[in-house]
Amino acid sequence: MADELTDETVNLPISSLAEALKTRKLSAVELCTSIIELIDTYNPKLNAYVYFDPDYVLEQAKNSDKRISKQHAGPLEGIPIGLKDNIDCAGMPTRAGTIILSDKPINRDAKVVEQLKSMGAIIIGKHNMHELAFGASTINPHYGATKNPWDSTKIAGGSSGGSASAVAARLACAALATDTAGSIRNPAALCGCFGIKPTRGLIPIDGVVPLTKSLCHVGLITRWVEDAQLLFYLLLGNSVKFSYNPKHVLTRFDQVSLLIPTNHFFDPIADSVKLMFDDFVSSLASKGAQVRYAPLPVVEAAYAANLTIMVAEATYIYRNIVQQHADKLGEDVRVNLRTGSLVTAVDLLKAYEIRELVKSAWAEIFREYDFVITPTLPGIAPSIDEPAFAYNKASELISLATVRMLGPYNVAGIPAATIPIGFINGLPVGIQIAAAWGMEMSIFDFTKLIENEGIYNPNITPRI
Amino acid sequence: MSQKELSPDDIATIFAALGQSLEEWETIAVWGLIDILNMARDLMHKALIDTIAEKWPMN
Repeated sequence: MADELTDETVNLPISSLAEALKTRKLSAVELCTSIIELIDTYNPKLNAYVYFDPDYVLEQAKNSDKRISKQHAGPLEGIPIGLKDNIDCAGMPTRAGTIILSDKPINRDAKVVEQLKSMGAIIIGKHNMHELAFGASTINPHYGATKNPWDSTKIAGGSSGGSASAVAARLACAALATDTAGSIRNPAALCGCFGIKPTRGLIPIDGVVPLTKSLCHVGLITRWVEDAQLLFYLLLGNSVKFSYNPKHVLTRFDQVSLLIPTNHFFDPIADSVKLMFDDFVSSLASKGAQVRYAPLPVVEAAYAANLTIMVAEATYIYRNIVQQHADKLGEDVRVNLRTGSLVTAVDLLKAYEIRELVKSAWAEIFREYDFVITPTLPGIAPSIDEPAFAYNKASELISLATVRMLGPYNVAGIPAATIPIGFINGLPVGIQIAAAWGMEMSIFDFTKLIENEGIYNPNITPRI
Repeated sequence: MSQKELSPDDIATIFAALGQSLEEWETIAVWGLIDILNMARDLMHKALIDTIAEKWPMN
């Protein structure tokens, strides 16, 4: 069987791999060996993993094979899943992209990791990230820059850059990551993956190194939409917190109503991205989707509130670190954490009040529309040497563009996803889909329709 | 004090009061980010209704 393993096998959706494992057409050791070989080959080029122990992985794989042979397999038995390095996994260090946290292995699992392990998943390693998740490039001063698998001179995005790079390059079947102002959606879009931050709080945040107290979300990066849907459903299948009525599955584009905001998201934006987005929306309309163009209320204020809350809460959380270990922080994170000290109490209270205003306004929006659709980012992956989006006559730092395009939805805590819709100059372009609280399954239905149309084909893989 | 009027020297003074000694490049970088905070403040200000002014007439 091992000889038959190819890159294509690794690229199969998780459900197909799980079936092959359970029916013993494939062993967990064979699958993990194949991924270990891919990591050995490509990680030196991509720098996606910062912690990886093949012996540990193979030991877990052997245990999975034993459980399968005894018919005690969990639903994710033998499936290799990676973690952003701010999520605890017993036996591995949690460094969160900084040198301030210990290199020593942690002795506990994050709640969500405990859930994954209980279902048989194999934690394959830890992914590189922007230091403390406080940035959008994964140009990490301590662990190096993660490269984009589609072009290694470009950034993978961030802060979950290692996770998106690893998933895009098939160095993991899926990754768990975090998102405070776009840190899942940004790298997923730049690396050509599906990424989703579910409704805030649905996936437990216990055991995750925090950046903020009220904006952080745990979510997923996958190649296939169905993989994210499966993992989400397995993690939350017994939860009453999300809405899913199997009788109301979206199966056709004419079942969806879309709001395309005419404000905020398109000023500035690269012409080529805007053109691709417009063509995409036209194609949805031609398939029967109800499309309306109108401003998204209070989105600018939501953006401002995200920025204000993020820097203030992060500065609060890391107040001792910035006092005692500032010299160990990278320059950008150090400056961000200093700047938070200049947010006044009144600013922060205004931001919290805006959060309530936004929730109320968008609850109305989602009574009228199923989804709000925008480009995920205003440009394609920038170069590692200059991590900014270039427009006709201007440029925008990737960190600020990320907060502008993606941060508003973290303030509201609504689910938001990104899915690739094409390539510009060989680099992926994504669209962002936001929905009402608890409507993750509708997002999965809708994005699977997009995937099934062939607009996005996860079988197209980068040549690294 | 309006943060629009802050100079790099003011920034250094504020952080000294917080017990943090900033290197010169940090002071300049933080000063550069004040524009972003001010932009956020203006956007939030525009979005919020002044409840007092709305509910009670003023002299």
